[in-house]
Amino acid sequence: MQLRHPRVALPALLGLGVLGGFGVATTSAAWTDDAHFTAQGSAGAVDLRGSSNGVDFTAADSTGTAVKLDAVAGLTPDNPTVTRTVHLWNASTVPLRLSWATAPKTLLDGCVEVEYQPFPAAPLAAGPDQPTGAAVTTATVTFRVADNASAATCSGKALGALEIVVQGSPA
Amino acid sequence: MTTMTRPRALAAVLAVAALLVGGARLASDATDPTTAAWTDDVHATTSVGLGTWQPSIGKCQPVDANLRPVDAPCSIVSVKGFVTGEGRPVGERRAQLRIKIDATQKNGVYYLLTVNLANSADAPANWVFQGGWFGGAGANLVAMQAPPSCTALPTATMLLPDWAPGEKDGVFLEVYEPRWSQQSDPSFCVRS
Repeated sequence: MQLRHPRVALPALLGLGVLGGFGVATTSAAWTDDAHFTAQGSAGAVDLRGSSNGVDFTAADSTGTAVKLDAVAGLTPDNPTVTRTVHLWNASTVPLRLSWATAPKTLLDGCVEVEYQPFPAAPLAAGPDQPTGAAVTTATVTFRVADNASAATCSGKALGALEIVVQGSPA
Repeated sequence: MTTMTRPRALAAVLAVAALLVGGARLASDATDPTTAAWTDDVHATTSVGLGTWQPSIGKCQPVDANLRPVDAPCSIVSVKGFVTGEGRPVGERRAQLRIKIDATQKNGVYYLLTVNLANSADAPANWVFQGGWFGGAGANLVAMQAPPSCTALPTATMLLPDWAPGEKDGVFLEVYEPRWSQQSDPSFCVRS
């Protein structure tokens, strides 16, 4: 084929784009197939579970099934810090990298500051059989009365429900 | 050798465009569900509540004669006495306060206080601190080499004598609004 005119050359160039587009689509599809294979290998394969006591683990996949932590109560300048811990178990068949999916830094109009313990850089090892050893870890959240929390603004304030979410993704 | 006519070229362009859109959609559909399938969340809930507390009235630090901190406990028990009963208008009033501290009395140990007078239990909301001063005859404060500025009011810094813990009713202090008529009353803080 000989291209003799720019208007004729344009479709040809676009044709190259189509090839490129198919290239992307094909690549994605291949990757997706792989992902779907793994995911189906588990609704199971990626399975992070939580617990308030390190013994009774549940999927805790939603607000309705969330791990219930003890209330954070009575924070004052004289009792300024309370820590809460979520125990995590990688019940997957693959190591998981952990991250905080929700992480508000302050609560109650700045009266309370929230600090999230960083997760280790190393992924949490897989342990699909039982929550022991390197397959378990903890996620710690510290609630602290802000230094500038005044009695007039902050005393007695409360927040009914706070949701904390940890996300696990294959390393 | 072949050539394309205009209608054929246009048809080719349209076909290419359709393929591009279809290809992009295919790629997008293929990618989206994968992301969701590759993570798992753990949700946890709690409630957060602050206790109740009163405004901080201030700090008490035991010091020696050179204002070097002394390791001993001290706290402010009360600062009160804003009710003067002199019937003066706002901006011209004087309050005669009593400051009571809780500490173990010891010779040569003084008490450096930083007090927010506005947080006194009986401080009127309309008390004019700006431009005022504190001190007064019988204030019984210890002179400081670097006296505080009156502009820091309602925060007042002062040095109480070593016998202060033994005063059952507290140490006497006068606080003045800016237009208090008796301008000769001495000031513990520096008025500028």
